[in-house]
Amino acid sequence: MNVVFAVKQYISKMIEDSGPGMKVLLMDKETTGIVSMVYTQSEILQKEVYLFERIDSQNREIMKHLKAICFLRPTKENVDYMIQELRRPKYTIYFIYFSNVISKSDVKSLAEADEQEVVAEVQEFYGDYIAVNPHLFSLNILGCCQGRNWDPAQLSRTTQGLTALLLSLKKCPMIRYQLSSEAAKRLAECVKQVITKEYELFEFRRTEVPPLLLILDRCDDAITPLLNQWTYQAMVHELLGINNNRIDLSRVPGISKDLREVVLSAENDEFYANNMYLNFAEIGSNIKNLMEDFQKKKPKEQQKLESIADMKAFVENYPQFKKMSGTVSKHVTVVGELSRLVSERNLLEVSEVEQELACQNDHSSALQNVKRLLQNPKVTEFDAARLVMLYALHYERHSSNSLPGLMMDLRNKGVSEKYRKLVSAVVEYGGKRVRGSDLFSPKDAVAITKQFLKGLKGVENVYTQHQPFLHETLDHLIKGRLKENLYPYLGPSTLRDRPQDIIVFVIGGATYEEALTVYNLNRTTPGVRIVLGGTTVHNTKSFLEEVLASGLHSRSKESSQVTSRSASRR
Amino acid sequence: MASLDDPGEVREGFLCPLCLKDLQSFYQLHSHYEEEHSGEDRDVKGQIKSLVQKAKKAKDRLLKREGDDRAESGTQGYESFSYRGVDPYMWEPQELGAVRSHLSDFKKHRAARIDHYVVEVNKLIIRLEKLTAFDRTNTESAKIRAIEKSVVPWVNDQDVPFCPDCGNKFSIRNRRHHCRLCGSIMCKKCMELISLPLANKLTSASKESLSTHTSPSQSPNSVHGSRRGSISSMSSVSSVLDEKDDDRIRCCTHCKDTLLKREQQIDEKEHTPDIVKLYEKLRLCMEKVDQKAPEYIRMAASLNAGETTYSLEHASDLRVEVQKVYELIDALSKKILTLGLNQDPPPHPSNLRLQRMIRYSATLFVQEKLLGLMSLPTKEQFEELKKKRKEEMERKRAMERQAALESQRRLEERQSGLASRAANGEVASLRRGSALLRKAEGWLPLSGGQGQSEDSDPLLQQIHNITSFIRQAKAAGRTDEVRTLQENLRQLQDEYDQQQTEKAIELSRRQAEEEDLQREQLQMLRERELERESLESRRQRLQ
Repeated sequence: MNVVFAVKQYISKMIEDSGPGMKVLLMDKETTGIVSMVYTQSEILQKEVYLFERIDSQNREIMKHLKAICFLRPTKENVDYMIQELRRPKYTIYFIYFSNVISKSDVKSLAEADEQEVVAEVQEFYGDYIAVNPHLFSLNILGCCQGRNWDPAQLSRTTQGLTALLLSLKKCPMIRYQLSSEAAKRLAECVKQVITKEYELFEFRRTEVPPLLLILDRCDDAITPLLNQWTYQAMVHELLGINNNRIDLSRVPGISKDLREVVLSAENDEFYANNMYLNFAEIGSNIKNLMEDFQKKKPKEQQKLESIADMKAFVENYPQFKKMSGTVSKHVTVVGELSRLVSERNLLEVSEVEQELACQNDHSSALQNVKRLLQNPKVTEFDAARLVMLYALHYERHSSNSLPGLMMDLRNKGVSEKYRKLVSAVVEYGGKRVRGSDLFSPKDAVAITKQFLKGLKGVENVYTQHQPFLHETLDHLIKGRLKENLYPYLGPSTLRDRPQDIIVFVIGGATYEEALTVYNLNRTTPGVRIVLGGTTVHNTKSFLEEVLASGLHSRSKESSQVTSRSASRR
Repeated sequence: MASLDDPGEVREGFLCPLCLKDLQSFYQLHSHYEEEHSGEDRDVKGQIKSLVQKAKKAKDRLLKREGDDRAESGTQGYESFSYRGVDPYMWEPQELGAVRSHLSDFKKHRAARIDHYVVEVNKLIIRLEKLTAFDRTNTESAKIRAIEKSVVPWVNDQDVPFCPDCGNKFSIRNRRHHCRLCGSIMCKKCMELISLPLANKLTSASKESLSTHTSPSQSPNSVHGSRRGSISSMSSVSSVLDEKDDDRIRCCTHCKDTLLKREQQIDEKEHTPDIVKLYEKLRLCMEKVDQKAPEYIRMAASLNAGETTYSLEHASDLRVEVQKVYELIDALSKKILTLGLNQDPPPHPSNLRLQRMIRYSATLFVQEKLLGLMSLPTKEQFEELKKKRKEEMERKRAMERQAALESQRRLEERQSGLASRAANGEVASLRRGSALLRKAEGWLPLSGGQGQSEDSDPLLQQIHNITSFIRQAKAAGRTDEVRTLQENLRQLQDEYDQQQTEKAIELSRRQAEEEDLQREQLQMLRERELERESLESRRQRLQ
């Protein structure tokens, strides 16, 4: 079920099968991202792959002494590029791997282009998704829906990504979907269609309990992507943005040149692997330890390089030293920037109120706190807008809802129109009307007592009270209590036992907070393995872009006009 | 035991477990047992056995419960700390995901296409051959034309009013030309020419490939020949304008294209660029390092530990050898890096990138592996190390022996202690005597046994043999054999060492077991006695 390993295995197999000799890896834009998530350059260099080229780059030279490994998505453009390539081959021999199902006619036209007989292999290797962590994958699609319905191109890409994931893990699942979302149902049907059509591919060894694919829609929980995060991975994504494990630090004041862009990959950064799920305070102390370790090693270089023995010791430590110095400066920079942003944007206070809005039901206190923060000049327009969004989502139908007043406050604060419009767009996207389940008030007795007890005990950490809605959904699913009238099975057969291998896919994007939840569920639940995927992995910014791209604001414009009118009437 | 140590109350020695009659020695007890209680024998034995078992069971249960408790609390602690599920990073690695090959389909389609292509090329080459088979310069042009027309039927002039390539109308000024290879018509501008050397090259190469079809390795002569051909064809192409029409052949662009492609293929087959040669050498060196470095590391580790399995000179030779390979790798990769940098048209950037990457990966390789090469001790250091190891070994051996002796002595002391505690002084002295005796016995076979086993142990004999073999092989200068022998020797020595320690462990364990057994017996006797006493005292109280 390890998705990183699954992709990595495909790539290794490709390289192995091409035999010894200098090689070039020929990729397209997307597969470049897919490969870079699982392999570092030095790792792949050791396998004699020395060049990485894009199939669409025009100034590739003829290098007949290289073998070419082509890893491409089976798109029309790529097939065309490949045909061009084979007509005038630039390399001695070609090993062609498509990341998904390719049509027979495309194979035929490729074969007819290969007049010089340079192709040695044509295969489908289903590494057609971005493997972020062993239990987390993404398709890097921003804006998958138009209104409530799929953008057709993105639907087909998502279907491809999801079926490739199933094939790479060798799972032929039963499918459940969120009934309240038309998009979820549509995707479920598309996946089913592919499974039926390619039934030969999906013939795997049957397991006792069949795997389960659960398809959800982001609009059921618009709260989670709006919250500030305090665990390392999620926080870095929220405040700095992670793009294919890369972080752009170029806007950090006074950044040195080689730290403009850093890579955070749990696969080959031990510190990151150990700390990605810890919270900010713990990271601080761990960073300190890392620094101390580093300093213990460092003097050898700077102070005592007099004796030969010292030199030798240094040289012997050199590779680790170099690696470590890279790690240290990287994490120190990242954490430093995070803490700068936290204090600059007054995020501790903001986050506390966010958590209150998300987890508690005290309207007057919440309103008061939001109002207070809106007056605070340190709070950015972005954070102000998201506070109001959270308020709007939670107290949408509250009797003394004072959203219009807050909107006025936003305007007075000078928050740009873009953000003010987004408030209503978010409500349109994930408001009560669209939600299939209740986000805020627990229904069953257990949950009520739990919340009651929680209230008595007080919360241990005010910044991490929030538990994504996904947790409850998965918890119910694992216990076999997920309601079939809300999450029906596709097709007649249902799962009698408790599920073991679960793949959850969130249309409209998952979040790193949810990834952490799934990680913890994996660790706490014996016999269950869960993989989380999404059309993308969101932070608040990208989520708002998603909302914007869905085009719901056009309709919400009217409602915002209504609210502003009502506000002006007052 | 301490609580039982009250001499007035506790009776020790060889008491009969049934009648509690004090018997002086084990043998006496044994015979007493045989005589007096032989009838009840089974029963009592059973009793004792069951008693022992019960005790054991109770003990087990107790221990188990303790263990269970601990395990339970452990899992609970574990649960709250690291839970019962599995961290996704620890998920068992799965097999390779699904794959599907289209190769057979691909080959089928390609074969159809290739056949067509190959036929076309061959057709052109055969025609070319016919066109160049006669002496063109000394033949009249009319005759040439006749021959040319016989090779391929020419297209009728009237059928083609416009040049099919550029679309210009044919007229008196814009005359029609025929392709001699396919017979088609084009205008002068669109006409291509094939020089005779190029034609020769193409036809001879195809003959060669036919003749060498069974033996793929071409003779160096033929390679040379056609190389020269390609060079001259280059020059002739460049000077094509000066040449007369009769040493070139008119053809259309299509045919020329096909033939040029063919030429390119021929050239590529014969030409390996410098970078490939250097790279192959580089890989060979890397493989060598992968082979030799582990061997060296093994040697160095052994030598640094003061072992004498390998010779110091041999190891340092190997070190020098490995280092030389590293230097070679460095030099080769540097050469690759600077390849073609001074050429006039500088190499394509992607070529340079390739060279840089090869250099980079070679550097990584050297960095990683070379730094793993530990240094060797100097001669003096080695002597010192050897001495140290010897001392260490001796100390170890002595300690083992000491431990063995110690446990034996402890055993004896206990026995003698027991004896002294026994009421009967005479027995005590007797026992002490026997203890002394035993000690003497123990000494002799131990030392004697060791002395013997040093010669009789087959392992040791083999070790001796192999050391002499090594000496001989070294004298004969067969380094390979020396190496394998040394490896053997090391394994043997390891095994021997292990055997010795195992023996020592076994010995002490056996002694400990004996001790335990005796202690258990004594304990049992004591318990009996206690029981009896308590019974008596109760009886007395009752009275």
